[in-house]
Amino acid sequence: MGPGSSHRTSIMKSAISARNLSKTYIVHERSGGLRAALRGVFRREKKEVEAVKSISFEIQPGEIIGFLGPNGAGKTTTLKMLSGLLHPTGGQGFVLGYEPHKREKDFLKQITLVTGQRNQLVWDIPAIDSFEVNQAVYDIDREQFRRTVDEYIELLELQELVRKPVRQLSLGERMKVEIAAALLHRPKVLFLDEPTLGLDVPMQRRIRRFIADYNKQEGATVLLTSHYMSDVQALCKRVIVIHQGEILFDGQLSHLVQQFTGYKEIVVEPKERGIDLSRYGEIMGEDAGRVSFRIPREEVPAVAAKLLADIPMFDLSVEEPPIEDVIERVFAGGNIETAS
Amino acid sequence: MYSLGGTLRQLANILVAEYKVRLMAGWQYRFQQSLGLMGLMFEAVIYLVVWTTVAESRGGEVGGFTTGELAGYYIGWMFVRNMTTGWSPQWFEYRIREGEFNTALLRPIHPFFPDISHMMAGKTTWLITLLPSMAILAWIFQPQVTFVAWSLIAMAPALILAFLLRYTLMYVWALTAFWTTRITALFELYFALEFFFSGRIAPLALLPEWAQTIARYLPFPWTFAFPLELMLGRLTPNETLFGFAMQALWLTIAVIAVRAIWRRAVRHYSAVGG
Repeated sequence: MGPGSSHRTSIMKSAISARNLSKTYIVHERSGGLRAALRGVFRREKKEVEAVKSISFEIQPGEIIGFLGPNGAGKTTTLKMLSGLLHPTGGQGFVLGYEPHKREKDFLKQITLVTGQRNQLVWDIPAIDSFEVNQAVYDIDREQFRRTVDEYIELLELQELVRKPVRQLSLGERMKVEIAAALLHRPKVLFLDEPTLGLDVPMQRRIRRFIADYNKQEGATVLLTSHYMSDVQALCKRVIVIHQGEILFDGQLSHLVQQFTGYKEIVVEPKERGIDLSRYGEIMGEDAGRVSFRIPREEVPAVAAKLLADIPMFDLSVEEPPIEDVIERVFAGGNIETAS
Repeated sequence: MYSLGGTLRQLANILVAEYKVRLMAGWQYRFQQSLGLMGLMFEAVIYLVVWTTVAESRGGEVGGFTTGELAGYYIGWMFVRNMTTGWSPQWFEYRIREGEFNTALLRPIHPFFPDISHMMAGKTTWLITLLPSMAILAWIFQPQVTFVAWSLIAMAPALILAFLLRYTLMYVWALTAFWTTRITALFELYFALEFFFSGRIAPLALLPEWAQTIARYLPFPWTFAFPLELMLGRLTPNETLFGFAMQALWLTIAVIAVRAIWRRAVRHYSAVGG
């Protein structure tokens, strides 16, 4: 059975479309010890693990989506299904109108997958030489190839790096060069799995800026997983949160905070130190004369007004809780019941 | 749309680009590769010494080979052996374990083709050490070879087909690494048969008549003994034509096998995860 006509229309419009996409792995397991090992020779215990449970979403061309979830949530499995490395066990995935697992040439020429593990570059030679292989494999026009290489060298500051053997590069340097190699064919869809993992802050920023520029310039669609919320905040307006193979949230990043936390933070700096403020709400911490409260969202205006009226102070501010805390709480399961 | 000419041109570009890169990378390890070459040399010299001893005990000849011709056989053996090596299941398994295969699967080219260049680059690096080694062995063992012009010319395509045939057969075995490592035992059996029937352990003429008959219909001699004996000018035109026909037949079978197993292997790989 093929997809219905409305589904087909949305597939054609969307850059990425997942409809009840599922992946169940069959894993062999046995207990420890010699006896179990010997038993395992004749009879292997099988167990089904549902890595991704019927997830659905649509991503429009040009969007940058943050795909968030704790380790083992199903992020990488989903990325692998959408890039064509894994065959789904249920549902369908479409990328640029193609079924990824068929790995048609025209599809592969328009996508890229960057993971920490993936290594396009030959270890023992300078990256600039490996780039030549990509030129041939993706059949990139010579002139365009030269322009693209020059542009990426400039943008990612690769002048020195592309001329050193890859094995002599640091992790961050290698990732920059890997990203350049992965984008030489100017793909329309980028699957980026932890592209900044283990990198220092300036390196993370440079890669982020490069991805943002690439997205703007090429109108490319980006599906990005990252443990660094600064990546997500800088690049993604929309996030999809996945947990235990299911989608918990799909929407604007700002809505995520509202949906998953019923609280805001009020931070005050009273003129007089040491006064008891506990009657205004739950105190989260005190630091250098600044006191922060955790206040239910609907009570924030009243509590702020009361604090301003009652207590002489230098400053008062209302803040959303840090996104890291929100995500942590979501994954810990503590606030999942607040999700609609 | 893809035209045949365009596709072949692109394939040639990929093969050349991959070859250059792998050659540059391999050059970094030329010392380690030279050590690997020592194993190949020792193997050839051991066979040569054993068979020379047998020949001398029988009045200077065994199975139609004089001691000088045996020297020619085993020195040429080194060249053909180098030119016909292929990937092993162990290498494929390593590649899957290291995640290298994910990269290969997401490229718009079947890995079978760039892997040929990878192999060819390795052979080129080896040749740099191998050719002087062969010259030294020739000086020590004084081979007797009567080169025949047409036979030498025929050796070139025979050697290329021998490489492609062995490479493709090894690829079939290598693909089994997608399923299991338990295949190793079966592969060892195959390897033993190849060892015996390909002309590697001894020239085919030294095998019993029944073994020679079986060998003719197996793929093994066409991956090794055939180009080697052409190099040494030991085949008639009819035997040469039969050899090419067998190479073509077995290559067709091997390519069909790779195509069939590849689809299943990748389906399995994408079912269990990379």
